[in-house]
Amino acid sequence: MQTSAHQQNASVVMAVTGRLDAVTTTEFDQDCAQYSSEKLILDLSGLEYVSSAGLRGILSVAKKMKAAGGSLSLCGLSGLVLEVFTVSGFDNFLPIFEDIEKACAGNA
Amino acid sequence: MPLSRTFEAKIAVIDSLIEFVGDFATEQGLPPKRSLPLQLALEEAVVNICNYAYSAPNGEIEVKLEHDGNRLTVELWDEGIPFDPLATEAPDLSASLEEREIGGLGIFLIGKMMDEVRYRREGKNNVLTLIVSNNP
Repeated sequence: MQTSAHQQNASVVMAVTGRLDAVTTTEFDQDCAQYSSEKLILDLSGLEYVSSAGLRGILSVAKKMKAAGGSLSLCGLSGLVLEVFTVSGFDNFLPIFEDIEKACAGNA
Repeated sequence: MPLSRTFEAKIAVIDSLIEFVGDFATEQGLPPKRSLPLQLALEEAVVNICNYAYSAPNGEIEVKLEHDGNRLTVELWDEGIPFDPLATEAPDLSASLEEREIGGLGIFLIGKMMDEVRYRREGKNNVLTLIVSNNP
């Protein structure tokens, strides 16, 4: 699992690649911590795999961000990652966009 | 031909356990698109054993593999306290961000990813069986 973030207009876009699992989720939480009060978009187009541990990490980040006045949205989900997010009902409380442009437009 | 290997029951073994099962699955012709769902079910099952079945360290998980030409059967044996993951309550999938809790999601995902999941208590062992077909 690797992350890299950049500012794009009003949003911070963080690309998360590789595997978000029971081993790597702690690192993901730490990488997100500095953006708690931002409009953070997670670009998951390079994410191959996510487990319930990864979902737990994303839920925890979303709750912290809401408390800190930030917001979290996701984009670029496909394959197993898209399936896991939707069957778990995470699309009920997290905005999910097709790509970075649409996610940024949502934060404008 | 049945195959088995024993792993320490800890989160750090998940990658090597997944590799052990994945190598066998590939040899037996499980299609690549079934690979990630299988990996997910294995991770969730091992995390559950580590978190619930064993209260003390030094537990073990024995993995037994069998393939009948169309279906891969993975049995996970542990000697922890009796724990039937299939008897746990289903998560509330419609909860809002504030109300959302994460418990039960791992088991729920195993059920979504596998064609069949069974639990039995055999002697002093929990046995979780995961079945995935070449052609679902």
